[in-house]
Amino acid sequence: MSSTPPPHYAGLVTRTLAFALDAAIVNAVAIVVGATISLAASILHLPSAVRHVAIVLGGVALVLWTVGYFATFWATTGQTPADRLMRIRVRDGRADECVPLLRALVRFGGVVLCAIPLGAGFLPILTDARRRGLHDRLARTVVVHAAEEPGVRT
Amino acid sequence: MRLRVVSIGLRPAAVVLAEGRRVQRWALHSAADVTTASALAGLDAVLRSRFAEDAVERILDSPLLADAVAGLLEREALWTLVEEVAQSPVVVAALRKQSVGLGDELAGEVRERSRHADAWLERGARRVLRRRVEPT
Repeated sequence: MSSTPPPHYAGLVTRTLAFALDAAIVNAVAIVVGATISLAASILHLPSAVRHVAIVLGGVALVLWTVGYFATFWATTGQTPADRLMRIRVRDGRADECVPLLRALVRFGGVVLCAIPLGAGFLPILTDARRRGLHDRLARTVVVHAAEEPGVRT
Repeated sequence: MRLRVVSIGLRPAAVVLAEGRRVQRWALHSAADVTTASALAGLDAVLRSRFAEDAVERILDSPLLADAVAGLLEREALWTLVEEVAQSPVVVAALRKQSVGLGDELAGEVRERSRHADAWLERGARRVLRRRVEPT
């Protein structure tokens, strides 16, 4: 009988670096797109009401883009581009597979909740045996080192 | 030899002239060979001598070398050659490979350090909380 060794879970620093890099990507894309649209709109002389609606729509688009970026990558490959660089992967807590989109969305909501009390929701990563934060517990996910799967530990 | 001279003398003037030119070319080539061999032997002797370093330093310090390099850099052909070499598929592939390798190396270093930092931070947290955490 062969038993699969446990995976090597990613820690707080590695995950923070990956998240910061993802945030930079999300913001860079948002800034470039926003600046382009603003520049184009500046020559159209839109009425004030339309401009306000456009700003609200832009805000909604930013939220959708941010949520969509993380949720889509977590649900499809389990890796955002920065996760890929750091060689970590978000996966189901019980099985070696990606989480469905709904749970990826729950996880993103969990990330926001964790951040609200000055990031206190992420602190359990330091003490949990599987390095899970509050958002991981909510979505029943773990973050593992992708290059070392399955079960190769250094 | 006398018979050969006699036979040449009996040929038309054009043939004599051609033979004369051939001899002249042979004489020039022979002289050039001898001169080159002597110069190379002289160079070998200089390089073997205890003044070799002085000789090299003098050549390097001389304005002749600087002028030669400056003249070379002003030539259009040199830059065309450099451009050709720089754009060659082998050089481009080598540069790309080196860039990717450097990026990989940097990312690997960041990953390694972040893993150490993970472990260090968790040890600190454990100490603060005085709690045993299962190693992951």
